Amino acid sequence: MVNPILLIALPLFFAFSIPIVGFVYRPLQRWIPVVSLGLTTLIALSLIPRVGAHGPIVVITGGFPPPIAINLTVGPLGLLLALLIQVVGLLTALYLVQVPVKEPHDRFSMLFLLLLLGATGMVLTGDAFNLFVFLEITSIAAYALTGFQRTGESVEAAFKYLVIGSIGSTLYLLGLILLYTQTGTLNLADIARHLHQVDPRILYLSLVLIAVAFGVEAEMFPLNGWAPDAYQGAPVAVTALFSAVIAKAGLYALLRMLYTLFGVQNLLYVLALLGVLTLLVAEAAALRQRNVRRMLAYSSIGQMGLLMLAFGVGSSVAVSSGLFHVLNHAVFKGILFLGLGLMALRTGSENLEDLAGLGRRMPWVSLLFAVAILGTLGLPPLSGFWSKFFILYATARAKFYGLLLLALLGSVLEAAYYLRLLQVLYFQEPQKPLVPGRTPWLPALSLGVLAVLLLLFSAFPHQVFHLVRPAATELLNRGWYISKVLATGGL
Amino acid sequence: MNQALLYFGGSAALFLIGLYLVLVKTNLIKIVLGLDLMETAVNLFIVASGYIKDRTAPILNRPDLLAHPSQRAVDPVPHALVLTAIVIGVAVMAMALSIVIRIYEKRQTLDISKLRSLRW
Repeated sequence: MVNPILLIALPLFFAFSIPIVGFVYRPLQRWIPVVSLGLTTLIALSLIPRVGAHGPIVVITGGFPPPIAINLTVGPLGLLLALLIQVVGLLTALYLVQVPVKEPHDRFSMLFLLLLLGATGMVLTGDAFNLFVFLEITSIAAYALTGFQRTGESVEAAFKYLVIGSIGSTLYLLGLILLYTQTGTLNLADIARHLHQVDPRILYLSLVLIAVAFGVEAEMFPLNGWAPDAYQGAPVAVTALFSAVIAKAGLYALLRMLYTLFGVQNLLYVLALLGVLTLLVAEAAALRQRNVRRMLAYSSIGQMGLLMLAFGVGSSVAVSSGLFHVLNHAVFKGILFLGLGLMALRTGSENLEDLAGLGRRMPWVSLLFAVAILGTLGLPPLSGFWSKFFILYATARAKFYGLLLLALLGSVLEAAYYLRLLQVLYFQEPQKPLVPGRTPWLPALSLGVLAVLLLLFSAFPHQVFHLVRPAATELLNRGWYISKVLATGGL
Repeated sequence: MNQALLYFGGSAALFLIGLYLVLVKTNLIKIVLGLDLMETAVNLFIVASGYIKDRTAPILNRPDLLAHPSQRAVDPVPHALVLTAIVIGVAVMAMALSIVIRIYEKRQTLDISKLRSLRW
C-alpha cells in the first residue's frame, strides 16, 4: 500500500521544485501542478479498497502511536473529500495550463499547490493542532491567490478575507488550547474520549470559538462577508477551487468538531438554522447581482447553507445526501466557474448582459453551463435532484417544517436568477462581437471530464449513495472513530 | 495562583485590545497591528498554560530531574506549539503587510473608510 502521507508530501515537494524546474526548462513549470495532482489522485484512488475493507488507515509519524504524536487518519470521509480535492484540483490545473493568469506564473502554481495541499491536510489529519497548521497553510495561500491579480478590487478582497480569516484561526487556536489545558492531549479522538473531564463552561466556550472559526471557512452566515468579494477578486480558476473544495474542507473541519470532537448531536439544530439563514440571505443577494461571477459566488454560499441544513438535521439519510450534495456541488460549481472563465475569455467581461446570445456562439460551453445550472436547481434526471430531494425529505422527516419551507423558498429564489441567466444566454440577441479565437482544448477537456462525472452521478445515484454511506457512518458513529484511531497498531 | 491569574488576565486584556483595534480603527496598519496583538495574546496564553511554578524545562540532564521527571518538569507541548504558532503568525503578518502595500499602491490611501469594497 502507498503511504497516505504522500498525499501531503508530494505536493509540498513539487510546489517548491517549481522554481528549480524553471531554471531548466521554463514551459515545463505549468505542467508541474498537473503532474503532482495526477499522482496524488492516483494515490487517493489506490487507497479506496483498503479503507473500504479495513476502515481508517492511521499513519504514525515519529514512531509514537496515537495519542502521542501527530497522526494522519485516512477514514472513509477524509478519503472521499481528499479524492474530491485531488480530482477537482487536477482538472483546474489542466485548465490553467492553457488559460493564462497574471505573471509570475511560477509563484501562482506554487500557491495553487499549497492551497490544495492545505485542504487535503485539513481533511486527513487526526490531530487538532495539525489541523490549525493546515488551516493556516490553506488560508495564507488563499489570501495570496485572492489578491494575485493585483487589481484594486482583488487586493481589497484579499485584505478583507485576511482580517476575517486570521481572526477565525486565532479563535480556533484559543479554543484548542482551552481544550488542551483540560484534557492534556491534542489527538482529536483522544480529546473526544476525555471530553467528560472538561469543565462544562470551558467546553461550551471552546465549542463556540471553534465553531466560529470554521464557520468562517465554511462560509456560514453571518461570517461569510469575505466570500463574495474573494470569489470575485480571485482568478476564476481559484474561485472554482474556493467554491468546489476549499469551503468543503472548512465544512469538514466544522463537522468533525461538532460530530466527533464535541459530539453535540443535541445542538445540531443550531447548525441547521444557520444553514437555512445562510441559504436565504445568499440567494436573496444573488438575485440582485449583475456580475455573473458574483451571482455564482452567492449561489455557492447558498449551497453551503443547504449543506449545513443537511448536516444539521443529522439523520443518516440527511448526512448521506449531504455528502452526495458535496460531490454534486463541487462538480456543478466547477463547471460553472471554469465555463464562465472560458466565456469571459471571449466576451471580455463577466457581466450578465455581455453573455447574451452565447448559447449559439459558444454552443458546447453554454450547453455544459446550462446543464450545471439545471443540476444546481435540482431538475429531476440530474444528480442535483437526488441529493437536494433527500436533504429536504430528511428535513421533513425530522419535523423541521419551518426550515423546510424556508429552504424551499430559497430554491425558488435560486430558480429566479438562474433561469434569468439561462434566458440571457439562449434567448437574447448578442450586443457585442466576440473576441476572435478558439476555445483552448485542455480547458475544454477538464469541463468535459466534469460533465462526464455529472452524467455518471445522474445515471447512478444509487451507487453514489452506496459510495458515501461509509463516510456518513464515520461521521455519525463517534465511538467507532475514537476506537479505530486509538486501538490502532498503525502503519 | 496569582501569577497564573496575571498571565491569563494579561492575555485576555491583550486580546481585547487587539479586537478593539481591528473593529474600531480605520487605518489598515492599525488593523494589522490589532490582528498581531490578538495572536500574541493567544501565544501568551499558550505559554502560560504550560507554565508551572518552580519547575524547569524537561531536559533530563540532572539526577533530581531524572528521578522524578513528572514532578520537576513543566509540560513541553505548549512551548512546542507556541513556536509553530509564532512562525505562522509571522507568515500571516507578512502577507497582511504586503497586501496593505498593494492597496496603498492602487488606492493611494490607508483609510479603510475610503476603500469602497472594504466596507462591511
